[in-house]
Amino acid sequence: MMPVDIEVAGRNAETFPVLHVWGWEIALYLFLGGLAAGLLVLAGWAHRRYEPARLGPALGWMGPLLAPVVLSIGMFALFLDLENKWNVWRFYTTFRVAAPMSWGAWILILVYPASLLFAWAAWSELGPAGARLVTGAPFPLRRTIAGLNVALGAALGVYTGILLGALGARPLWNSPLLGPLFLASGLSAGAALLVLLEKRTSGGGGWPRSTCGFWAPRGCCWGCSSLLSPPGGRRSGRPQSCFSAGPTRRCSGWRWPSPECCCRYGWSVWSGGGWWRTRRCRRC
Amino acid sequence: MPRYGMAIDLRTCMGCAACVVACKVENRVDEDAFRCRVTQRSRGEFPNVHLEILSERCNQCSDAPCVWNCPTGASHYADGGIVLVDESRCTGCKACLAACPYDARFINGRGVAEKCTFCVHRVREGLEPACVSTCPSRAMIFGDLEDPSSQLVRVLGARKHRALKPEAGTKPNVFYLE
Repeated sequence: MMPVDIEVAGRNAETFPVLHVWGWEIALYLFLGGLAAGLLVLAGWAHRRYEPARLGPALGWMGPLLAPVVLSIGMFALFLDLENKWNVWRFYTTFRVAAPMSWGAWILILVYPASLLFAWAAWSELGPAGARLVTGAPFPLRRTIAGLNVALGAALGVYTGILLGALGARPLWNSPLLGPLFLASGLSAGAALLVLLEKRTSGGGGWPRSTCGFWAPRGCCWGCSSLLSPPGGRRSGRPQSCFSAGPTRRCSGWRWPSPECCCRYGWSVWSGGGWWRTRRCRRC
Repeated sequence: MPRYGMAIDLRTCMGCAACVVACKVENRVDEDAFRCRVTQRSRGEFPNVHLEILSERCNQCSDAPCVWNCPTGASHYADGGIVLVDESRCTGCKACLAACPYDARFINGRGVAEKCTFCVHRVREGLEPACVSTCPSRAMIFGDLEDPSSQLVRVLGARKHRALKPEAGTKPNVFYLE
């Protein structure tokens, strides 16, 4: 049998790597990207299948109009995560077949204009005011655009899962199931939002606003924080998990926590990510 | 075409971390970052347990997940199979950090991925990497794995050795002599 490491330690713990790779930006993007994918696939499918007159407001115009907004916020979060933002254009000077992130970069650059096109096509469903402002696409063209969005939306929903699932270095992510799972969770998030919108606009009641406002983001955060490692700064935090036996630092009396620590503690308490695991920074 | 590798003798390595310091000085690594480290591991199963000291760095894998996961081609193979990062192409997306089973990479102050380069600037001039030439117990051997006459190949042929995390399937080129 292969020997197993019982513990990993060292007297020079400051040389150990910080195992926390991605932060809240990627968690936010994974949720919003999945949500946008769900909206595009479901609304696209509905627009392909049914005449616009038969669709309610949620599938008719809210979904198609919300998708690019959600996607914009998600893509902006993705951009914020880049450490060398000036080189973002480098994604588009090459295509690496083996790199899921390269596929993702190209899928995003294709799905974004497609979702804008879909929003334009569905604009006339907004009512007389909307139709006066912009005339939506005629039905056959709209069907084509909707079909395009179903395909690209599905690609958007799957690639994030494949990206994380291809990381052999992170055993809990390393599974081919992650792609379909991410698509399924994106579809369920999109469906949930569409049901919520439909119920609220058709006067069918829907859930109380306070319940949705509190639980929806909280649920998302729980999901995200269980997916990603517990919060901790790349620069200020000390290595986490595996290399836990570093030198212990004693608190020398009470000091006010730094704003950074407040944010980190606040985030971990709010997201249910385990405040007791959150390390303090060097200053406090 | 050479394929550079390294062997570290666990019998003579005493965990002094001179390699860590030499690397830091040679490569002018950021204040709060290191390209290599010395870890202390308890291995085995009770009662057959033993403690070992490992000087760890990028394994310059022949099938490196950081290279094929890089979306821009910034992580690439240079001469001798050394994995390098082209700073002008790196976006700091951290795909390579997440892909590396050895946690050998970090994002430096310029926002790009950084890692051990086997001191490629020294190797190109015919010198050994800084860690190897510094090692006070001569526990580290650097050389060409394709050259049968090199000391590295001879030592690997004569002594029992292993690589770290062979289960990751990355064909690492840093070996530990037991």
